[in-house]
Amino acid sequence: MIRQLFDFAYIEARKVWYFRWLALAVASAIFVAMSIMTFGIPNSYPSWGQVYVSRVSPLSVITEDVSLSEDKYGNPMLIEKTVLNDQNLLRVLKSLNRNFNTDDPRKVEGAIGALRGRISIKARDEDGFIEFHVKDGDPVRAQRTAKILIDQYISDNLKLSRSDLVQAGAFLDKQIVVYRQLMLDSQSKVATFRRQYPRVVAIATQSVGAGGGGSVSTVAVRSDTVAAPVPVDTSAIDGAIADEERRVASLLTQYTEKYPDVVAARSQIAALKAQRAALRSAAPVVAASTGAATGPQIVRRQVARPTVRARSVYAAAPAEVAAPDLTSQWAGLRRESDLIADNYQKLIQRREATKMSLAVYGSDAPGKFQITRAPTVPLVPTGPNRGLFLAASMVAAIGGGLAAAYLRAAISGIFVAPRELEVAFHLPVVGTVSWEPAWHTGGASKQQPALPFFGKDVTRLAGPNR
Amino acid sequence: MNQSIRATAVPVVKLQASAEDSTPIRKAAGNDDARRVGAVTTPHFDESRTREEFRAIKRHMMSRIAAGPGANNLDPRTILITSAGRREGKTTVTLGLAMSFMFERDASVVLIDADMRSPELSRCMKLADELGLLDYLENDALEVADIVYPTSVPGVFAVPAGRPRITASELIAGERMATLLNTLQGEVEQRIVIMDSGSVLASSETVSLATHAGQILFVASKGETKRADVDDCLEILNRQAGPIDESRVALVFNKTDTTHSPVRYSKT
Repeated sequence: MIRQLFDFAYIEARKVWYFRWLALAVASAIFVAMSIMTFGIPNSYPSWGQVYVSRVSPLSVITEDVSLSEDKYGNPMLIEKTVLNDQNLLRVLKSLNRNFNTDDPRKVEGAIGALRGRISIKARDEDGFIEFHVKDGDPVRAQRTAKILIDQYISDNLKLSRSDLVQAGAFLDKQIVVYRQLMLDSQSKVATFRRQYPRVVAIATQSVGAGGGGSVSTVAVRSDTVAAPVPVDTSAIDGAIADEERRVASLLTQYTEKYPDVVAARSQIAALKAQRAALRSAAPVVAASTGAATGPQIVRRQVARPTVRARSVYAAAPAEVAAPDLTSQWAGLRRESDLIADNYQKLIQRREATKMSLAVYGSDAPGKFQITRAPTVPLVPTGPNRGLFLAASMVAAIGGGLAAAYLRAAISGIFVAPRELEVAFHLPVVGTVSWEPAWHTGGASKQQPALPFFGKDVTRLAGPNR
Repeated sequence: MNQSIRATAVPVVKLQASAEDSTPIRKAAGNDDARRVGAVTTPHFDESRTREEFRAIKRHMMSRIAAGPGANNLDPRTILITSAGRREGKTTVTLGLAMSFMFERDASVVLIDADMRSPELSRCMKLADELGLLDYLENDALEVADIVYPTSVPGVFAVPAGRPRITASELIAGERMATLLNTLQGEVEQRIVIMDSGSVLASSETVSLATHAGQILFVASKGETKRADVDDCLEILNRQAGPIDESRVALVFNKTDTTHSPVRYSKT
């Protein structure tokens, strides 16, 4: 099998060798043609500029999560998609040539494709440097193209930033209005409570001041006339409710009431409140009530008429005690008021930061975009790689020549080896006659071009003994 | 000349025609006006190599001659040399083979130039203007001895083509051609008749000659002979000149290089 393959390869190689002059001619023609093409390719001048996009600028620190311009401008894929799209490149073409004809869509498409092929963008995601490389046969045009691309990139992103900030500002304005109303309502509730239960407020304030921030639930309400229920410890539920309310308030600075997390938190709060109410209603009454009375009335009575019985019930309690639900209500009001006020202040700060950002991006300043290397006019061409092209031309020429010789041999159906004859016709090849001078007779052959078969020189063929 | 080659035993060929030669050849050989023959222009052969290459071909032919007539009852001493196209080396092979047969003891060779379209053999031997084959075939008054010319090489005789005629094919296909061949071979066992014919695809007389040939040597040249042409030739010969098989037809690969030569080492 291997021998057959070897024979086949040998015969085919000999066929190609037989047409070696054709192969040489074809290879020469191909090489010359490709060389002319290679040297006809115009020089390519590279121009490039570099832009630094700051991710952590003072502005972004101020805006925190409000800015929508984070992590957006350094993504290489996004940059390519935005800078090298047809619209942008058409703008570049128009900038380069004011008389650029856009009537023929095919020509426009071709010009855009050619321009896209000459541009490469290298964006390093980790450090924020973006490089715009342009190659052109005209060095000045290469520099202009790079400059236009950089300007377009920066201006487009500035527009985008402005748009983002405007939208963020509008959203913050709405939130501020909502929170202002919430804050007013909360302050109104606090004021009302303070007017209704000044003593409770005073005790709570005093207790907080004396206890150094102790829990209001430890503040007792003096009660000597009203039977009070056995105190049920709902502080854990209260804490959970407070946490949920804080979370809702925080979410509302960025989202609306319809946001799923807000809705979920609201329902959680409602469930917790229901649980707390159930616990309180199930608590056993220790002392009989003197009549149906509302909470505030009972507190007033408690404050006005302290009794010994009550003191006996709360023997271990401080001297002045308040009703637990009132203190809890007061604490809730205060907490809600503080939270809303805090969030309101944050919203105001962010709105101011947004205005600052807008002021920066709205001017001609580059904002967070800094040109670290402006494109320059290149002086030395970097392409084409004529050496490589010539080497490739050589390889193609050799291949083409060999292919031509092989095809010629295949088409002509010639024989280059005796074995071919035998295989083809199933007849014996009884001999060969070689026409190739041997190395040791080369000189003699030149001197004696004609081999005399007959006549006086016949001995040359017959041998010296003839 | 190399001393070792000088010592090589080479068959001695008698300078005079064999004693057993029949009349026409003896008459021609005894003619004091034996025609001068010229040199044949050939490529720059490595002579010793070429000698050996033709010896290889000759051995094959001799073995067939020794085997005697085959089923077709054709005399294997009558050898036709042909090819598919022009300039493939028929005349060269004819001359080389003749020279090789010359070395055989008591052998004599008659070369017939039967290539009527290009009588190269006649020109080589400077017999182009002499009476030849076609003259003999047309003119009953001529005898065989009138067209057989001795050469300066003992044992080798030549029959030129003669003056060209438009009826060449018909004349060769005639009965007189068979008579000529029989006469030339006569009773001499060692006489070999080699016919240098035209290409099968170019001249119809080649097929006529093939009907008389006990051996057909088909010359194919490297890089020139096309397979389709050889196929056509063999088909024509098979159809019109009897069965073509390996007992009758052999191939010679001409114009090849030394890599295909059966002679690996040679010196002059």
